[in-house]
Amino acid sequence: MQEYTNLTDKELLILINADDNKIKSSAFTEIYNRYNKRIYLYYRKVFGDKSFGDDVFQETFLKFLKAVENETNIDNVLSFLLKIARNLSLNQKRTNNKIFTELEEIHSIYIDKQYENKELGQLIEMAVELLPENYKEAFILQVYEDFSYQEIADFLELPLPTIRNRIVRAKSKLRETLTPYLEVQR
Amino acid sequence: MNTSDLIYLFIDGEANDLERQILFDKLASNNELQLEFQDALKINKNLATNDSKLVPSALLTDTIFSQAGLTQILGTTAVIGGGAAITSNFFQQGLALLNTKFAVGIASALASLILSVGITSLFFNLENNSLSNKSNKQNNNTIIPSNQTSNSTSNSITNTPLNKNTNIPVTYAHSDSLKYVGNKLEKLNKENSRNLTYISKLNNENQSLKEKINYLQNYSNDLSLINDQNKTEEIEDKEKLNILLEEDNFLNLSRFNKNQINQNEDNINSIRNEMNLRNKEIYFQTLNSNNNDIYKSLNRYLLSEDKEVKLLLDYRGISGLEYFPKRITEEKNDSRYNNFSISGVIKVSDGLFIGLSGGQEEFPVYLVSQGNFRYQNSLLWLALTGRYYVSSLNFSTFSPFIETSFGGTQIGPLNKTLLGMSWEPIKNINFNVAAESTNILFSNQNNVRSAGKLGLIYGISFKF
Repeated sequence: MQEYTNLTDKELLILINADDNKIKSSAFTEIYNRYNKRIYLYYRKVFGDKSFGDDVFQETFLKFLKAVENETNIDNVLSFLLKIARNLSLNQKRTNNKIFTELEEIHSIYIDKQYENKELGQLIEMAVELLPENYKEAFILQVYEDFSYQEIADFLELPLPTIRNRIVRAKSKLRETLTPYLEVQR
Repeated sequence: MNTSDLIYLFIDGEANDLERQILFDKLASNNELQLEFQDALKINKNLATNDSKLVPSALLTDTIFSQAGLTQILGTTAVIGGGAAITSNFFQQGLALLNTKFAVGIASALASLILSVGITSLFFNLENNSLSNKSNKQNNNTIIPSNQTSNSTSNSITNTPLNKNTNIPVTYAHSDSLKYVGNKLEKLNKENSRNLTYISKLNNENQSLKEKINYLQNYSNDLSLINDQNKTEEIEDKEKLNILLEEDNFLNLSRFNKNQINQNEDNINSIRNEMNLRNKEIYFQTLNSNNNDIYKSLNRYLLSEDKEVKLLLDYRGISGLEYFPKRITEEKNDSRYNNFSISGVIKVSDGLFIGLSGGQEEFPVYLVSQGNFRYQNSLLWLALTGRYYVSSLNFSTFSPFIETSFGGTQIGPLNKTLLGMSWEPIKNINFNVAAESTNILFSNQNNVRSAGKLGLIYGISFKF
């Protein structure tokens, strides 16, 4: 497996189409190792609920595998995987309505643990789930996938000012939700 | 976009000059905005540290591979697991063995032997930068470490070739105030290079000092080193020293005027404190490429204006933990000056000190000579001592050291071997703690006998 870690994504994509199942498995394992955490993170942040995220996460890599069997000329594997992930997320949401966390749920956690500073991360996570969908998507790509604003604009095929606006609004909203907690912390 | 919004653009590094200007103008006088800025920073910090635990389960991964009709190649995971089990079992057996009466003596002898051999081999390899040599061996011997830098203080620009096999530019370090200490190569992989953004180094193109900025790109996890010739920037004469400081996962670039460093002690101290460096050690980072792999070369320098330690004086207390053969009497004939040692060692090379030590300690032995029985509870000893501070393992203000002594007592020859840790909370004053193995040989009824002791050493060192 060691030698596969030195290969570029493009080389791995070629090897995924090899006839030898061992080579194919090794190449796919390496691609999976490189990107699984980031894709998983994307789903968990988009869906919040683990079970939905797991189903779609699984489907993403299977669709990816199918796609690269026909097309190995992919410039950016992460971007490609995220595109699949995004389409699957949108489909899933359309069929399952909107998945959201009740505000009361967050509030109750806040009340119970308002003096525990370590809980801020957990509260943030829940507050992210409350963000409007279009804000949330840009926010997740920026914060958890380390995309620049320009990269997000390219990825979502939207103008840069729109992306700037969405991320800033998302963060502003996040702060607004967490203000009671932050005030106690001051 | 209102001023509050600019906070988020600024934190994300997406604000332009005008937006930054507006933000900071407002921040200066607006308390509400300042609070919002603090909140935003706090949230941002938690966002960045909050996602590492989210990973797909092993079951989920297995399902994907199974549905794809593929086999997951596990790499070395299984081997590591097996190794851990063996190690655990080994330690359990080892602990059981240590519980026997015999074990202490065996452990004492073994510890002494292992430490002595280790120290001897270290002494012979001191000048050879064993760390960088080790790295080279691991890396197929293709990397040429930057150990061609002069070992002494020099007034010239020192050439530090990194790799003759590739086109990576030669790196220069202006070293008239620096003394080369050592070099360590570290292979960068996709994970630990993720936050590296750029590295700067000095070049002497066209006989003038220039700063060359190399970008380490990790786009789409393809690690690549880019030498952008257009990014070369001439350094003014007064700024000949370029210092790169390493923090946990990223490199910080700071440029200092050499004269400032000589004159401004506070500046150096702040660097040292920030980096937990001791003795004004400075780290130059350079990058090196070998085919597909990229290595970070960590070149350590000591600022020579810092007074070097020449002499160490130690006072130590000795506490006996276990004796071999086991002590069978509680009879004591100690004087009040017992269980202590003093030593004076002088520096012979970086980290290595040699000198004399002596003391008196409890070491019960029975002697039978010409029909007379004599119980000797304490021994006086004097020995030649070598001590080595393993600077490559330094952390914070702690330095591990190893020490061995050969000498004699009033009844025969003696060897002591120590493995310890030195802590320097105050400049030039160290507190030490160490495990010690002592072995003596003596004559008893015309036979040569041996005895051993495991002890705990604690003491204080003064540097001069």
